[in-house]
Amino acid sequence: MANNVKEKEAYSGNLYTSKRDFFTLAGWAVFLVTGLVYTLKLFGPKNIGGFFFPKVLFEPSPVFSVGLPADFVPGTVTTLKARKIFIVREGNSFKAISVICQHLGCAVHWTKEKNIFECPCHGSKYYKNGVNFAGPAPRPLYHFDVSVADDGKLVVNTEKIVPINTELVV
Amino acid sequence: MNLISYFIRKLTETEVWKSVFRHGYTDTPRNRALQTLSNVWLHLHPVKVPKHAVKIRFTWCLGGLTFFIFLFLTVTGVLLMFYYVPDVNRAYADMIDLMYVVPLGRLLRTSHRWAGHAMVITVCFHMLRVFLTGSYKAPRQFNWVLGVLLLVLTFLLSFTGYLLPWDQLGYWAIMVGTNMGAATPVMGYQGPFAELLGVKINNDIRFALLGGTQIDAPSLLRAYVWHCIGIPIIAGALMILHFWRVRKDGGISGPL
Ligand code: HEM
Ligand code: FES
Repeated sequence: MANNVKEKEAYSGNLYTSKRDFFTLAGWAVFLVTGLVYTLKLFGPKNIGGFFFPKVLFEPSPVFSVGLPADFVPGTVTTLKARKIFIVREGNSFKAISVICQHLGCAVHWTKEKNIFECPCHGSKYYKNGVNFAGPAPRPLYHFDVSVADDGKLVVNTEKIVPINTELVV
Repeated sequence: MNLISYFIRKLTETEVWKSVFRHGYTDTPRNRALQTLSNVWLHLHPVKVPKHAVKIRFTWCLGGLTFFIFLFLTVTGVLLMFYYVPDVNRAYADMIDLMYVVPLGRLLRTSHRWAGHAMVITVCFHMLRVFLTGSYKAPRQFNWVLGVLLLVLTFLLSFTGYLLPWDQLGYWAIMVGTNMGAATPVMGYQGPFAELLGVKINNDIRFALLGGTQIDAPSLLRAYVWHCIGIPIIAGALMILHFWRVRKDGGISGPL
């Protein structure tokens, strides 16, 4: 029987027993490798160029100017809603504090009467220096790097997170 | 009288009639089996079931209910797609239009939303029933695993659908939900071991879900595509497997 002959050949230990076996293997190899490569490209991480990680983002720049120091009144907290930051001015010192709650990302707001930041989502509270004291938030609000540009305006860089006691004195 | 039976005979002898009703009403065990086997809708069912399998108070038909709701959601969802555009400038207005200017739109939108909630509830109760009746035991372990995947997919359908109205409720829910993703070990940039693998805000799982570092136009589009196409297809395929496994594992499990 033809089948028996083929089986004996296949078990003889030699990979390339017949042209047919070779093409079967080659076919599977091409199929699997192609499948693997495409799966990786589709669902893989950013560093191998995964499909779900675009190379260009159409998002606002993380570095932006917020105006002259004189635009902010000493002793106040100014909310820059579109930039998602507070500018806290104390005398001549400036701080840029994130509005993003460190619990799960809601936007906290400044409550002037109580002198604290409050989160509407699950009730986290923060002191004026960004340190959490109530609710589920596990850590203080992020503080971003502030610097003075050549034109004298304040520049905030939300990619640079600085220790909470950092301040810019102008 | 003779005329009526003449016409009935003529009708039942046509090719079309015989293509639809292949086996008539003859009440013999063999013919009853054939009626089920040769019908595309009924052939998924066994031709014979043990008595305990038709007891409502064993399954409460919870899996069946979940599947029914899934089909209902598919129909209402496709109808919603005729009016809804996943664009940040339009999405919310489209929902309002559905409520006020589209005939039946309010019923459509509301029933899609309630059915979404209902599916999450029934799938949980179905799992509870399977657990309490011990139906996850051998030989049904694999179907339990398929069930867990279906549970996760049901949650993901609910989650991705939540963002689509582009309202405050959905926006902050997705904010909280994707930030949980950001706190996941290894995969999220705020989670444990993130530094170890160089996982940052622009290459973690949250980024892949949102299509950026913040909730914006790409996030709405991604939620839309996953909600309307990706997840339903995956879930549908797994449901076919799930039902097939129920049959192959010997039908519905019996009382303990
Ligand atoms: C999209 C979600 C799901 C659908 C549409 C679905 C559908 C069904 C249907 C129609 C049945 C037949 C019996 C019945 O109606 O109870 C069934 C049985 C079963 N399901 Fe699901 N199911 C889903 C999710 C789950 C989940 C979350 C689990 C558990 C983790 C699960 C585990 C099982 C098992 C083990 C059986 C066999 C039960 C038995 O033989 O008694 N399923 N499913
Ligand atoms: S997100 Fe602010 S308390 Fe939960």
